[in-house]
Amino acid sequence: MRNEACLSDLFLDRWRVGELSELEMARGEAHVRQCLVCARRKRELDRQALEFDVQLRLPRRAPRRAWRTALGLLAAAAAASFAVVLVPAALPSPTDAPGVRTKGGPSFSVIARRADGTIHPVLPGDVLAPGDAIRFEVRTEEPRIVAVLGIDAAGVVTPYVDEVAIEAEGPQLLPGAIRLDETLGPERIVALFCDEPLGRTRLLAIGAEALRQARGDPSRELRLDAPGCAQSSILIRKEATP
Amino acid sequence: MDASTIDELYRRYGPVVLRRARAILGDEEAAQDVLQEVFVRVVEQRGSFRGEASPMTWIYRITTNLCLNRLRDGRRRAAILEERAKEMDPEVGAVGAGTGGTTPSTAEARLTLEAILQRVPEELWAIAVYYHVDHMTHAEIAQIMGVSRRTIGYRLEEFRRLALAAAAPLEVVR
Repeated sequence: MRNEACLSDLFLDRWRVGELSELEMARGEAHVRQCLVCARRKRELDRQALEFDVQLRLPRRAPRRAWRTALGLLAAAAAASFAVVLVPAALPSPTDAPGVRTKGGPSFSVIARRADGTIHPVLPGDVLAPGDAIRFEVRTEEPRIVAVLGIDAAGVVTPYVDEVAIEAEGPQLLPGAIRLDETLGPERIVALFCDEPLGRTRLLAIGAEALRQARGDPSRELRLDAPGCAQSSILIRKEATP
Repeated sequence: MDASTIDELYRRYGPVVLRRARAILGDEEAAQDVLQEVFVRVVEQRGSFRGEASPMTWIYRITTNLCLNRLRDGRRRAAILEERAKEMDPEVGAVGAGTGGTTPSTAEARLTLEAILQRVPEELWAIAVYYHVDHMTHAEIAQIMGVSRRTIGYRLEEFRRLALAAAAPLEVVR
């Protein structure tokens, strides 16, 4: 329950858009460190703002891209109806806790659309089903080349997003959607943020080598050997729907 | 104000307008209408908007006014109030009633908006929204409404008194 010392929605909204003075911001930061109610409310307002922003940027048609052929496309209408909630994963350490954004670093989020039409952010360990669709959201503080790989329990490395140039313009939904295939078990989805393109062949090789070092188990800690690239990953589990 | 500036303002302030309009009106379609109306005002009154030390405060004020105008027309009044009263957090009032604070108790909260429309002058409507929906401090309400903190204190106390009075006839005496 909020009390008189708590931060108002106005204060939190002004904080989000950068209207607070340094003194006010310091007061806000000190308060949310010791007030779970306000910390939760701040996250909720930030999430709503991100959702609003993403909905504005949803494509009306999913562009046709060759890299999606193995996993299929969502219909344009489905892509347009992708209302999302974002939970950024911290970078650069792949072991950082999800849901925390490192100031100044890139972030990576996965959004799922289930067969029943529900849409939700994907958190580490979430269970998805073959046929569920996923999309990716990234944010960078400087222009980067972004690639997303899927590394599944069958030992297959799939380039979900070939290298695309991302400008530093806040959260950006990567084009297209991926429909998950029938392979069950753990799958790690890795985003790479690089200064220069590595090339598809090298990306696949790097992914395969990382999986080999993890003894073929994508649920193990897995880090791609990609010098000059920040990376973030999220582990999901694919299970057949009953 | 060019298209890119409007787009940027819409992204920045749009979610706030929509959230508050939903909270005040409890009606998605009406909230979407208010969202559009607010940004028409932003364009029309861009000089005033840009001159604000806190554009967010300006956005709050315009949104509140437009929402209350909609409530004022009365056509959806009964249904909206019933829904809003149900949705009000029952814990919101737990502090005030027993501790001498100004937050109404649960029973008061259930009747707060109805009491406002039926029994209090219009300036209390906005104060009640800022206090109970946005959880603003007296100082923040004073700033957004351009009156003194003391005035806000008086008006909130008046609101509290009227809300209590509105609640009284509904109490069941056994």
